[in-house]
Amino acid sequence: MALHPDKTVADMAIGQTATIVRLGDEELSLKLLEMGCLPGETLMLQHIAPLGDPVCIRVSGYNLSLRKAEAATILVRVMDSDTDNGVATNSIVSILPKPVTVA
Amino acid sequence: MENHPKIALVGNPNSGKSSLFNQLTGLNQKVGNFAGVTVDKKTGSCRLSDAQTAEIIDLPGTYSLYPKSPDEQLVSDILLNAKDAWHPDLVVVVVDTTNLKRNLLLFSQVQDLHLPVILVLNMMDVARQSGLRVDLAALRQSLNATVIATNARTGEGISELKREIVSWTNRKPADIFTDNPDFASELTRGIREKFGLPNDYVAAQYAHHAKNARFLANGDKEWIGNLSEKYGFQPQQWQAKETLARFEQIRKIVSSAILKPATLPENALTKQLDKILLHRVWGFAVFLAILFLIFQAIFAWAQYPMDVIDNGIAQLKGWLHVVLPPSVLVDLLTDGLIAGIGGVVIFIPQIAILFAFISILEETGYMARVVFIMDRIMRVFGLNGKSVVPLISGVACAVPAIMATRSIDNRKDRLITIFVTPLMSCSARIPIFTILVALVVPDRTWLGVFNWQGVALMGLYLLGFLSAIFSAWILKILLHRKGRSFFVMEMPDYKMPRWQNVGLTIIEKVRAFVLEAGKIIVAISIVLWVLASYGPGNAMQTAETATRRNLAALPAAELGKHVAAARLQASYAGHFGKFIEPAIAPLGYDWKIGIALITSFAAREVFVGTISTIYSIGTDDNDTTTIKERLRTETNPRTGKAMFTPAVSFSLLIFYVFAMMCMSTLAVVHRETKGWTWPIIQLVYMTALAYAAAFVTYQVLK
Repeated sequence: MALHPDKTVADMAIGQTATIVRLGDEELSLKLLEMGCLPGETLMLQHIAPLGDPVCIRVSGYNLSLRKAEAATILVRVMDSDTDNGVATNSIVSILPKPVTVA
Repeated sequence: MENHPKIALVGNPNSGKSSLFNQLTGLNQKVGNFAGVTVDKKTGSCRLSDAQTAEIIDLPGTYSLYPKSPDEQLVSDILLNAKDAWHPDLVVVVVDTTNLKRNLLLFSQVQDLHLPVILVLNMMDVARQSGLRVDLAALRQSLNATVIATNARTGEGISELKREIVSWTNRKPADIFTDNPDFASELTRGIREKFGLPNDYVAAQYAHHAKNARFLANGDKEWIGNLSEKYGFQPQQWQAKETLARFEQIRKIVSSAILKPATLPENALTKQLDKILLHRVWGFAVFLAILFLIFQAIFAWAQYPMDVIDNGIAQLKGWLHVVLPPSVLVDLLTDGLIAGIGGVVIFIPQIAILFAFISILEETGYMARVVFIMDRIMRVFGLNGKSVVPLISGVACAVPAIMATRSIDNRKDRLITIFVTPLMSCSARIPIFTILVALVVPDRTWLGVFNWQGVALMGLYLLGFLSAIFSAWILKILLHRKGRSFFVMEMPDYKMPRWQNVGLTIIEKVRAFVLEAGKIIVAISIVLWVLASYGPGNAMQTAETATRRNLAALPAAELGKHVAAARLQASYAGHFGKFIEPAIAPLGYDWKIGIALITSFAAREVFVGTISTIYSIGTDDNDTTTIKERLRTETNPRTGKAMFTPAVSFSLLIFYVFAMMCMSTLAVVHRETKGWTWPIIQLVYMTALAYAAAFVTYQVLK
């Protein structure tokens, strides 16, 4: 199973699917959380704007656009097509997002 | 009160909340402003039954109770403050059924505020089409709330909702949704006691909003602040914990209440359309084509209704002059008041067409795509993808355009957009442009297709646009960014526009324009009429007598025109013109143009009216050929040659590209920025720009 723990949404290619590991920016994470970008949630990169920025992801059943700099705060594990997604997701849910640690 | 409950509609953006509001209230709605904030207040009354009506308020769309903009702040303010005039007796939370999980976050928060709540599952049709089935009974049970399925587009479920609202008196606040032990603490208990709040969650909200809440007195804010500090309250961490805890619970509820499928398949139409509309070539091509269509509609199609209005006003004036005895009051009525109202009404077709387009683009979901593809380009100039709509609207009228900047949540981006929008050439400049262009640019074609006059007109618009972009870029460097801005934005699926919403938007915007801009234009028109009709002492009478004596040989009609011109020269307005003549002489203007410059500050379209009065061609403002011919024959008394040389005409054109459009724009900037600083800087900047550009133009071409 190939894991790329240092990847962010900004590094993803169109059509790639990934699991959210952690939200790296405390202030922005509050906004992203209420928009349904929760750790453990699966997302897919849908579109990249004509000039490379912003990007559009599909998460929680809808499309969300965000700037590349914002996308770079979402740390993800990109799923390779041959990996067992179920395992990847489960192991990640236990990893709590650092800035939003539940005390 | 008993039979007149206040009901608040709350929901995420794109949840169909406004459609539901329109279904409930129809034309019985009002748009106003909340005291002290520039947030539109949409309220309306709804007949629930023969005996009962309800007051409904459509609160701004929000994703949670934690606001990121003044609009969203208002939602928390009203829901948290039991003393607010609009604090609801019942909250109707509208959710998009196809996106239940994210939408239920807000519902769960509202439920915990200890208010009676009804949950409306909207967009049931779309949900059904995509194979989604919701177990309403299970949802009712697990949420412990009244749940109604509606389709606000067709009106399905509306009567059921009304019946539920009627029984609101029996309704108790629902049980708490998330009974998180974290909600209760020494801190929340203290706040609860002090303010007499119903539960710990509301108290926690007070602690969270203490800084920005408008309803808390400064002393109370300080008290909460001190207490929060004492107990080490960390609002951001608290909010993150709360959000995660709620989603954990929502996930369980949704998975048991939604029968199939677990995640909704992507909307196929949206996917296909986005492939084209977000494409690096086709995306921009389609956007440009739509822009072209909007321009075509504003400038070509709107001409027909505008001509009708124009003729109607002229006929009304003529008719009043015939039926009413000649007197000063009749002149004030026709040349002051009705001329002023005419100047406002004439723009209604353009504003209606513009907002029809904008509303359709928003309803379909395309506007979010425009923001998406334009954001990167606009950012170079310190603007934002969301600045595109105000800039386009500015082509019709800056007043609604500046009001449209409210959707930009970052303060700096919004200020820059407000600042540069008046540089977009508004439709009120068209009469000036067309007359002057017709005067100096030959009516010939270039390369067989392009009309030279058309090219010149387009050049003027382009100049306005480029100056707006350039000014924005300068401001970007000068201004310091306060607070962070997020671009995170939902891209809704494409939908057919709901025509009722489009119609209501048009009515609302036209009404706002007539009331906002109209008041000022009418007032200024009357002031101008007074300034042009009266002069110091008996100067005007003297001027008239002298003219009549000197030109007694002329035919009566001809003489009348000369008398009118002489009187204007002797009036207060004439004195003003003479007074500023030295300042505008370097631009090639004389005192007559000076008067027009001053009067046109009321509203650009007044220029043509003033010019026609000054050059004494009677009251027929609308016959542009006559004005053009008259301007062509006007001679400069000093040189003895034509007054309107290409140098003077181009200098005037350039001046009007850059000059501050009108008082109503300044008034709306004052209101939106809550102070005089920005309107004054804007006025000085644009006047200086106009003066410098006109000076260069004149001196080069002279």
